Amino acid sequence: MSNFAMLFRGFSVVFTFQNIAVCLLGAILGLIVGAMPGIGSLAGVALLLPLTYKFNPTTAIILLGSLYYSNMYGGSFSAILLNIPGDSPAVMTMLDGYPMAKKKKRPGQALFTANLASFVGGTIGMIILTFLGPGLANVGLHFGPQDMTALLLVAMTSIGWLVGKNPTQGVILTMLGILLACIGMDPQTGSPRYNFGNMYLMGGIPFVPFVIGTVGFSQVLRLMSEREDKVDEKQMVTQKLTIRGSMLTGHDVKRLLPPAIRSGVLGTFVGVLPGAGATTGAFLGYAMNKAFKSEEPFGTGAIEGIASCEAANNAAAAGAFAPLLALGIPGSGTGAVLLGGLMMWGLNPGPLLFTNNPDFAWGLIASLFLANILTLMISIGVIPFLIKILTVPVKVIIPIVLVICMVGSYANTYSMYGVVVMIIAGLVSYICEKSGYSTAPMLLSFVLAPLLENNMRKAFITSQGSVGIFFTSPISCAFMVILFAIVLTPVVRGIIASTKKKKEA
Amino acid sequence: MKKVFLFVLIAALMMPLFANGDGEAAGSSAAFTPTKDITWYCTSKPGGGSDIYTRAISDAAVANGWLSKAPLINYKTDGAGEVGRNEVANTKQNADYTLLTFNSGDLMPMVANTPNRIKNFTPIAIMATDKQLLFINPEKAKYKTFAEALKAAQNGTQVVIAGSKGDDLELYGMLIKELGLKENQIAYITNDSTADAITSGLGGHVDLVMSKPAAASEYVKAGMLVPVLALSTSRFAGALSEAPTLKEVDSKYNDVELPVWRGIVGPAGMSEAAAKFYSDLAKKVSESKEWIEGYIQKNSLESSFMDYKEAKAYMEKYEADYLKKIGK
Amino acid sequence: MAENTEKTTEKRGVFTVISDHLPQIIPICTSAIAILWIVLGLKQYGFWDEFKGPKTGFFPTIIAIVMLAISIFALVTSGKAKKPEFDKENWMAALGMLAMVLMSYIVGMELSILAFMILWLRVYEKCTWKTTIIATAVVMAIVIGAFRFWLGIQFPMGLFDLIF
Repeated sequence: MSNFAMLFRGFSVVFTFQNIAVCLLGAILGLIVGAMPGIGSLAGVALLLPLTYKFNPTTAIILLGSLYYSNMYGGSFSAILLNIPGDSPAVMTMLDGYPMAKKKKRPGQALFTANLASFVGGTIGMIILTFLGPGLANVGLHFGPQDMTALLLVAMTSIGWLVGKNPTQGVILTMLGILLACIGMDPQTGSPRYNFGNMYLMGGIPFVPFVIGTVGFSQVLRLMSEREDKVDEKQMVTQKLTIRGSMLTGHDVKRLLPPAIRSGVLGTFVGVLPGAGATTGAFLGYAMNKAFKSEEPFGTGAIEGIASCEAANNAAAAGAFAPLLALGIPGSGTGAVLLGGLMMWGLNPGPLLFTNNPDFAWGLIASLFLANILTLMISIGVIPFLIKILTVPVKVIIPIVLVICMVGSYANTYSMYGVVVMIIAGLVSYICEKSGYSTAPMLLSFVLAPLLENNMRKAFITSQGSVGIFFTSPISCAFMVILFAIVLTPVVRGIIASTKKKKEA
Repeated sequence: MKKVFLFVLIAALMMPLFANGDGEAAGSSAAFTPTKDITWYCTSKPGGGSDIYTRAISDAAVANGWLSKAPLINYKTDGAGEVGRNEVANTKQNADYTLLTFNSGDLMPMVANTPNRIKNFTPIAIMATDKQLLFINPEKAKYKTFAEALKAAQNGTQVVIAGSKGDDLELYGMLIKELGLKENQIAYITNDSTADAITSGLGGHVDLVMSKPAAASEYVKAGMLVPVLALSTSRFAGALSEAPTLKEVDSKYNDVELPVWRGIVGPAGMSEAAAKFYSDLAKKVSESKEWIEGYIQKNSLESSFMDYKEAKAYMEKYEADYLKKIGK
Repeated sequence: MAENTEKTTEKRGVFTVISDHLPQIIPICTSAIAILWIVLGLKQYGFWDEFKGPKTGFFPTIIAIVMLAISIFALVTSGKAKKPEFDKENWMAALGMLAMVLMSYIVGMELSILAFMILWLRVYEKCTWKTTIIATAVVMAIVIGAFRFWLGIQFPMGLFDLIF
């Protein structure tokens, strides 16, 4: 219970005019940064960092923390409205968010769902963080490379859910995603791999331009077929969409809560794990919830779909603070930048942070709660404006999105390399999608493959090549059992079904 | 009239081309003072170690008025930084206004994976050096001292070290060579960053963690990591002083160290006057309060300044030694 | 109507042949990539180390083998696959993007975007000046305001880089 008391103290730190103002500023900036494709929390945090030098540390971390957190809200905006994820965690949101906006004509509700689910997920994450923070961080430590490998293998099988109607084609692209992820440097030996002597490829294929191309650019190509013939100028002005018009019905809310809560818990734990961040969290949340009943199937615009990944990515962002604050271990690139900031402000991130600087640590956690509420309010308030975007004729949206794709890809790599990757990825993806291949599994395998391979090799080094390590460690063993269950269940079912048939015949 | 106007316009647009040329010609004969914007290349992401280092220098220079304007930091991370290094090496125009953050951790992959070499650059200074130690997790470690771990390795039980990529990996190679052991007797797990290596150590998944003092200091203070071997020719100071050097562990071995240096270079096309200017600037920064308190001490580094002539000799020798080691 | 489709299919002869065979071309490409990865993996990068377990080529090679197997399967069963139909207008967007990128090398990215927006909306889509200007202004505000000033990203200046 003392944690609760500490949290209260944290709130007292937060509720100063300066800190609230800064929290609000961070929330707004995070929304903008998150909504823009190509720029994620990493860039936003890294670039604002030098400006915070003069602030006192608590104020500074509140600014950056709320930016990092609200980034997860913003990413869903462009995902839902334009089918272009604002950042990598939003890739999953796009799968149900965009269909709900376009096909079901409920864009306001889609945005509302995303916001509400983000709020629920984030709150769950923060509550867990408050009460279990340090303990949670220790749990993360127990996950060794063999455990992570087993966990990721299970995660990979759930890509199967996303494969859709044609498993053959889905698997091909999944494998392709993995092969593309192998381009670059071998993580264990540091030597270049599959780069064909090209200097640019030595750094690998950058994920964000790859996503923007696969999803965004190819989407624009498809949009060309949806242009209206005449631009109805009047239409742009007279559509007045209110917040009330976007509100969810009680039934909708009932549908979104269970997946949001489940994802919130799962997401928090994923955020705590070494190497896994909001993207992995969103993906696992989505995959896990697919196993549960939902009124509409995932991928067609189901509220449950949006809720499951949005809640997870916010929860993972909250969860990532656990190892950061309790142990000084950054769970992601953005975390590393925040750590650098901590040092810049004269604090020492590490296991002693809670003990030596309780006001700072608890002030930050309390500010996350505040950021959560502020961002929710702002996001909902902004919905009517965002929907206005949908009333803009497709003709006009296309060139705007083309520009943003190019600029976002450029900004991500600070060079034209990102743009080239984006264009190639987009063209190939467009051709594939037209031929019936679904590219979503490729994106996910691209993200997970490096984690999987790296952990697997670390495990094998430790075990000197023996496979036994995956079964001697309890966590790993548990996941391997789950893995076999998932893989063998359809096979066993098939055998049972065919023996039944034989008996009947 | 139109033709005259066009002619004047074109001539006006061409002026900058000539203005450039004049500026450079004058600069190379007299002492150099920067008259244009300086572009400072950083080949890793903003917020990372190299970025913090770059900004620390530039902030100290501007704060003390040695530079009128902060240099523009250009993050060129393509190709794991090789593209940026290649660009700087080939910069001919504006060579006097181009700087690059360059560390031993950049040099090693550069010469191993590309044809780029130090001779394509003008070394300007070395600002700091860093060395590593091996640590154990006192709660979970099987071996409480390095001597114990060494004995276990020699007797057939595999000992695992976790460290970062680049410098640390190199140092590991040197260590096992000195110990006369094979890779499977003392194994090495490469991590993307020292933070990941420390994480695996805290979780008890490895026996030893290799780290520079900065990354490990808080954990040592908290008692979660204990230094057991100093990879240096002399013991470290302060909380790390309990760790013996290799020679102290067993006198039949020589001390093993691979100092990690952080430096600054410019393109090969940079003029001598400009190099001297930046070198003097770096020297002033290295003695400034902002640098010493704000960067060196905070990161537990050794401030070891080398000016452009010393840095050139040092970097060239480092490169030659390394090339020999990897057989090129 | 029938006449129209005949005319267009005649014009796009080569492309239709390609698009008709995409269900075969795609698995062939992925098989080729898989084989390339396998060959490199085994010859250049090494498969298994007796002490360290998987070497550089281990993981990619295994995945590539799986992809090859499934690609061959897809190729064999691709006879019944739907033949995708492409429309010329979709490729216009791609051309527009390429034009914008190439122009960036000449006049710099910001000017290229400006020119692109105006040319696309006004000339290609035949929008009114009002629409064109508003859309262009919004885009330039985002690009210059958010990306350049706030995030500090320096866009290429094209040939101007050589002058300044």
